[in-house]
Amino acid sequence: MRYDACIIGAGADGLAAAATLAARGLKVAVVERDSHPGGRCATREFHPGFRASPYTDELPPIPAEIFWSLDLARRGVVLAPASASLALWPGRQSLLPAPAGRAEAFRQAILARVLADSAAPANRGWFTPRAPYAPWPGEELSTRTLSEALEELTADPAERANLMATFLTGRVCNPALAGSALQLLGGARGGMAAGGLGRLGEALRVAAQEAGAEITCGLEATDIRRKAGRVTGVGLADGSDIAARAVISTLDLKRTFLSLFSWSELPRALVDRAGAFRPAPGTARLLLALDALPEPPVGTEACALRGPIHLAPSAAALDEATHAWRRGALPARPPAMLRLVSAVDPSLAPSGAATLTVTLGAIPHTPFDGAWTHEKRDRLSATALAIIEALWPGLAKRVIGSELLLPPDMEQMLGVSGGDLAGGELAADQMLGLRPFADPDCRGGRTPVQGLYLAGPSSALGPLATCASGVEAARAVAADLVARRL
Amino acid sequence: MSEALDALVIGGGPHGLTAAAYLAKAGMRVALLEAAAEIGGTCANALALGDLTVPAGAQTLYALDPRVVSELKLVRFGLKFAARDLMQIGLRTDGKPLLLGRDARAAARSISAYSQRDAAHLVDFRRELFAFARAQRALWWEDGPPAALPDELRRQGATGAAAMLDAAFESEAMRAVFAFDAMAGGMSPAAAGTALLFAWRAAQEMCGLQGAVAVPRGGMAALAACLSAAAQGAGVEIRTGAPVARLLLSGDAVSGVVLASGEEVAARIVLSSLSRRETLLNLAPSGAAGFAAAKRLTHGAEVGEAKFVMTLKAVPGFAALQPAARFLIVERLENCIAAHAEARAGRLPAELALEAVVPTAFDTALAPPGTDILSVLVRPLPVVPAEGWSKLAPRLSEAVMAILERHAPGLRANITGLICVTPKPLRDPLEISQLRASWRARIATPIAGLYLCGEAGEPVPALSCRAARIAAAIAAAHLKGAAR
Repeated sequence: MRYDACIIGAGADGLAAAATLAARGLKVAVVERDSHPGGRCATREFHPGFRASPYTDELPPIPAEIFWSLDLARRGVVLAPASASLALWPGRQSLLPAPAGRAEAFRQAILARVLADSAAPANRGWFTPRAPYAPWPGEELSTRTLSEALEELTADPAERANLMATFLTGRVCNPALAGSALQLLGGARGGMAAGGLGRLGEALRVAAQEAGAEITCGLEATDIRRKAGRVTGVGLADGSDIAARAVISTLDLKRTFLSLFSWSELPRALVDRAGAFRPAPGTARLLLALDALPEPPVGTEACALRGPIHLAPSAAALDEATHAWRRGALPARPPAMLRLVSAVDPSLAPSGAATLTVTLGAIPHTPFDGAWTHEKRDRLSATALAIIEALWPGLAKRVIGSELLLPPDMEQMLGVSGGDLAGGELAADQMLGLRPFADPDCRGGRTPVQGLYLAGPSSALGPLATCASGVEAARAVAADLVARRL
Repeated sequence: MSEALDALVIGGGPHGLTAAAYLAKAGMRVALLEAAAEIGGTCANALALGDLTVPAGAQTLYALDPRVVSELKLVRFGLKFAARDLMQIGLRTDGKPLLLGRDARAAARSISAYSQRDAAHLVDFRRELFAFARAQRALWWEDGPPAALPDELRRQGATGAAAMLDAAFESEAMRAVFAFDAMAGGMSPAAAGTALLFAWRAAQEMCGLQGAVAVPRGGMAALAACLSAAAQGAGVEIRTGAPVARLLLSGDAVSGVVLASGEEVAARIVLSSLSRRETLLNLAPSGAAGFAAAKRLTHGAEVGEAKFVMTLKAVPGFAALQPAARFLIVERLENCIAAHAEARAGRLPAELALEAVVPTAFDTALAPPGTDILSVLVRPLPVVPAEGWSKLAPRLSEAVMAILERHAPGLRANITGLICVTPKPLRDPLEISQLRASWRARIATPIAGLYLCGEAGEPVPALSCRAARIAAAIAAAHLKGAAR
């Protein structure tokens, strides 16, 4: 049997793509390596009675148009509004509402442009005069620095440091470098899902299956089959094949082109681009089970603990951590962001207790002195707890259980190269019209390989929104099928 | 100065002299005001080093506009070159030096000790870079409307030099050789768009050779002397020892300047070869620049370069490789990124990038026999270090000496005199977006009749005099328009 489209990866983007295509009456198959769908939209018990979303607490927003077309509200997805962010320094603090502003306007304009673009069929094979270049919304950010862009938003240095940490949400960069202002685009927060992100993943699975997509879990895609230059299907780990007219990969760029193809088959420029695509500094996640709700730090109200809590954010520390990461060293003071997730969603902890997640930035995938060992893990946990204890005394002794997830763990569980959840650094040469390919024919998730579409973190919309890159690729597939270009 | 002047030029460096010469050739009555007692600006032999005098500014020429040379007939005024195409040599502690001259075969031979692939790739790298650079001359050489940005310019305008070099070369040695040029204008090699700095440099032409680096016979002061002779020949009135205190404005247009002595000099237009910050913050009345422009002026360049000049009893050992060469001493490209961050934070970086030239090796007239000159540029350095330059300068000298000693053992014992020029404050920060902007946007100011003809008008700060030539044309058109 031949499918119209086969989707590799059943994360949010893959499931949204499947639901969009199946709703148009196309035959869609989804293959997922893990035993259950959802990808990073997962929530699990990490200590008896304590649950958390292990990879991230909050995803970028789902565009309203997609949220309603997938009927997610009826399927039980409730997103809490993004709450104010708190920054703590010794003897000082800053509380800021979730930022809006020009960056958000740019983000919306980019989404609108890409989603509108993707419905046009590919140019391939026909002579179509190339449209003149239209600058991308937010393109001016690619020559500006993050520090300078934040100076426009607020004059207060403490508020600026808080804003910087809020926009970065665990990522790190050198805020004085030209191009770092692009990090603002990746800083949108979609709000925490009631019941954890797992509920969102489940709703997306139901949406895809109700539309008629077939989801196969526990089966890894190992090859993309090609014949006469065009994609004919996907080869699976058990030796079987799925024949399909189009393939959407939601894996990152490196994994898609360097592990699903044999390199010699691909154009040299494509392999070079995939190889040279720079990963973003990784993050570590420390999930903590607390036996009681801790007293808020002195001078803080309990309601201020519902949002992200940044520990002593500063541009200098960020810079230092970035350079440590480049060398493969563990930063002495990694940027740390806490979320008291059970304060927003009490179902995540037993009554009276609390669940706290810690996101640590600039964690190398492989430290310069060799792979991660138990000792190094323990040392990182201890560093994190010491940073917390310094600013929030009394919290460390409440910890009754913990789990640490490092970039190699994320690589193994989610299959993201280098454990980089961002799918590639948000740098000027890897964003907007250049993510992932500079070729204007590659809009709508198209790739230089005919019949293969790329959604997921490395695609243009990957870091900007959830589900959007999947819907973009699905629309492009549908348009190309209708125009008989596949 | 009884009659009213058409134009005044502030600053008697090469840029100011060029602008004044062009204006005078166009039939204007032009005066040039120089603060120092001698003409030449940073090219003048203003620093005493033993019995010699040396300039404080650039040590090589790689961007001088060939049209300035031909149109001002500089050769007739005595411009000669001691070296026309300095070889680019990368000195390494971990192996043999890289000889990246125009001889592709010799270059490949020296690179192959580090990487066979890079040795084969250098030819392609240069060919692509030079072809791309030539295609951008419409944007970088002319005052036309900005060319429609082709895909490649847009892509390179977003790429960092480090990312570009990582993709181009696999050996650390090759990446490091290019790191010094990647830090032009105080940029970090990791900053977006710094890949364009290579293309901009490759678009330049010296002595008819694309991408060449040359040194005038008699040093930079000789170039200033030629330009001065050309300006005077064209009828420019040159006044030295006349520092400008402030600009005179009538309405929102410039009407002249006030000298430090209190004398007022009236002119219909003023061209400043000082930096944008010096001109608009120090000379213009506060508020005249307007809010938007003043905001752009709040941050000066934080990272700059220092220059060391020393007299030696014998040439350093590495000069035997090739006398007419620029020796680049950088260990690792990656370290330069961290070093830039250190410098930005106001500290002395652990790793420094050096460009050394031995001018007496190819121009023996510069110093008496038995004396050699070694001139070294050092990047990246803080413009305003936390502890002040008076304390940092000795530590910097020590660090530079240690690096040089590693490549030329015994150098320290040969030194008879040394002078250190620390980074100049009040410089304009380099903005990569300026590499894609129009000339007029950089040259014009918010004050009508005031134009920038110095490095502030160039896409990348360099001794090119192109901004001066174009500023003179814009200013002349302005005067003609006003007369009509």
